[in-house]
Amino acid sequence: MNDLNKQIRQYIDAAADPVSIGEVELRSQRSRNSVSNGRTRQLRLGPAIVWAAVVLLLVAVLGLKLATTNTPRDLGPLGHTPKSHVLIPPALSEPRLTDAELHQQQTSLDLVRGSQGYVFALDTGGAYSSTNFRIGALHSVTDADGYLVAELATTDNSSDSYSTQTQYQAIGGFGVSNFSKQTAFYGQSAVPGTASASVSFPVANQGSLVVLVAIGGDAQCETTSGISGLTTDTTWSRGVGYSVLIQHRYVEPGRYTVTENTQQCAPGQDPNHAGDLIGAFVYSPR
Amino acid sequence: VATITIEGNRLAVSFEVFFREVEPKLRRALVAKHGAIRGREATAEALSWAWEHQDQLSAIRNPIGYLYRVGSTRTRPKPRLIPFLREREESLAYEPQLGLLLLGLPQQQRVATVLIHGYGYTLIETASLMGIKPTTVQNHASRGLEKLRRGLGVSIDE
Repeated sequence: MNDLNKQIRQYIDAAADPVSIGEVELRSQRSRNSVSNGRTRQLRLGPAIVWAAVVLLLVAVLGLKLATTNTPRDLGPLGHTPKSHVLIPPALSEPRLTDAELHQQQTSLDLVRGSQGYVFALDTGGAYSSTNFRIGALHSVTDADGYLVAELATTDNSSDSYSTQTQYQAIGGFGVSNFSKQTAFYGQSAVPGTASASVSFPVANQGSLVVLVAIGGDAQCETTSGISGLTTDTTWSRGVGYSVLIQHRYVEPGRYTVTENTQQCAPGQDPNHAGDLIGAFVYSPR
Repeated sequence: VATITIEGNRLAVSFEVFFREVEPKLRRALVAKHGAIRGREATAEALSWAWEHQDQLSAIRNPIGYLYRVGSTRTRPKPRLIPFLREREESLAYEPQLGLLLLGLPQQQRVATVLIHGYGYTLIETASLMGIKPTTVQNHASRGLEKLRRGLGVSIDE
């Protein structure tokens, strides 16, 4: 690829963030709600039709006003007429997932640039030493032998890395944009042979996005329970490799408890190297 | 996760897999066609349509070409916005006038040039996305690249 071709690609890639599957779901939900409320898609109508509708509405309002000029108006108990119904749906303001990736046998990850915040996750075999993530606010789990086996790093940098002497390792992460506040909650377990960890967290605002990152340190089989209808963004079920489960959903305000269940599926694994870590990241809308 | 079937190779894939494959191509093509803001909006609209009409999508022979047209028809131009205005200012190594030169290309030349030369898509792939003949794509792409080279003063590929 020559230099000009590369520049064209970089220019277009930098022009617009990727569209996430969560954003598409949200738009579809909005569209369905709009139709079910009996509202038509005013913004999809051609400009001519919109103008015609506005003119007709003005004529109707003027006609109604002339017809009722001499009639006392019923102002209601508070002395004012009710506000007109707002027809235009609100702008897309919810937080959105911009990227989610999981890579086996890698120790560095570059997520799509331009997001507001990032979370990185590492998962190691736990038999040998590993360093912490290079950047970010860290939350770590060490196994019964004292080795780093799972870690989460929260940062505004789109790249992060660590190093390890373990034979097997994985790195994952996600990016989020369009949020006003990020709150992180963690649950962990590092007893030998651990098979679960739970996290409990409140969601205060309507339209909040919850992203779960479940790491089964030195474990390949993994599920979560506690919130139904989660969209799975990354998991691993193909051959040798660790599952770092990243899932998300827009949730109603309330209190939630999520549990990750893990299992060392490969034969002969050392239970002393197991360690579970689950992070729940709540993103409030702007 | 819903399941759809892509006609042609009759491969049943989940919507998520379909989404991951189609989103980058669609976004690049629509951003090249309409610019950053409307291009991204068109991509999101087209994929929302796909999400809502998975049953119909399975009967469409060329889903990505269809979604390319859906994205364009479901969004409207915003007259006061410059089509190639970038929302993010990053210190990437572009030629400063590349955006203006891309903007100066006719729409089909721009899309063909970006997809063929920027991303290395094949002529058939690009033609099926744009709904035109591969030979026409080739003409658009080579004319577009030639204009960019002239504009940037580049004569030889490096």
